[in-house]
Amino acid sequence: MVEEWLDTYNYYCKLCPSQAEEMTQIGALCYSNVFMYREDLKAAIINHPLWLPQDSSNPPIFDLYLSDFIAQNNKARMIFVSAEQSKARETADLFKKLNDGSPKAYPNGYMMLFIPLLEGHQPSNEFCAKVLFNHEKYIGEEEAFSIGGFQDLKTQVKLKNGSTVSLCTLIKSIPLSSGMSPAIISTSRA
Amino acid sequence: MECRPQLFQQVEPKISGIVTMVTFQKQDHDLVYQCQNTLESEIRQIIAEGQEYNVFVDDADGIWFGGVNETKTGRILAAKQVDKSSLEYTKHISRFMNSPPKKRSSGVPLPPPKTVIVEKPTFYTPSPSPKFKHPLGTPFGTLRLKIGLQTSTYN
Repeated sequence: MVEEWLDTYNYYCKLCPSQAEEMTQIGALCYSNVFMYREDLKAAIINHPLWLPQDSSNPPIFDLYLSDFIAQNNKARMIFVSAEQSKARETADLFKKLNDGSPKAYPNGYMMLFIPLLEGHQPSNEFCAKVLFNHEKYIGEEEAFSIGGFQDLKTQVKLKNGSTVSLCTLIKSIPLSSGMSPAIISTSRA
Repeated sequence: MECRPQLFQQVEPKISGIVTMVTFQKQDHDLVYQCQNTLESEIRQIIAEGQEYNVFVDDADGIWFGGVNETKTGRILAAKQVDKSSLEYTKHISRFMNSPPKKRSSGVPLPPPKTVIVEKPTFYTPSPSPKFKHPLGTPFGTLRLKIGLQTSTYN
């Protein structure tokens, strides 16, 4: 019955990632995209070399979800990050390190900026408006379609020039102009 | 609009695992559709010999394309405005918050209250045993659920 009601009113219901304590919003990821497969991104974040929790035996639990980033009566869809209340600050610090905008290998090769939205540290409305403007300017108007017949995107493929890249990197490196570029852009799915 | 040198912006696995989802700028729609015909041959040209089985599920079938199934408008949307009556009510309430209400008194001192002995109620309050651990992590078997509005295929 609940399932039917949720479906009728376009809600979803899922098990909270932490069954031990409440989750709290810690920030948003500027330049994130509604088309990103969040489960895959989550796995890439956890496996990133910069993801070094204080207690590796009990790492912080976080979740990625879509929500509206609001500034000065405007809004845009972004991926938000929530974490366990007791580890909110620690998780925010890890995300700050991971998504700081510096040139490096980002999780899944997507450069995103972490905007901390911790309780008591809300950024100013002007700053949020800047974030919103840059985010929408970068994302633009997008369309998506599906391609069938590819292997798993993490599969490593050897190229004629001797280098080995993931299938995802290979597809992402296809240039907009006709003719295949010999250089593969190093946006590896770290 | 940012200038992008690549054909696709995002390359993501679809939940089903059967197809790959790719995104591109709406303005490049025609160009991307033209490239569909040559995409497979371009990939084949750059991969080393014998690597076809790492790229394609079936080397003979190659790849096929689905239609546009999602579109994202890149416009900044106006957030829902709070109506005037709600704003006025908020102001009205905030006035009360600035000056807390005073206790009313008739000026006549009240007699001291009689001492009433109330027995301590004996309610049963279950205390979670530290040894007991629910398989899903909560002591009483209550699951923490997250409910949100469906906005995307990836929830």
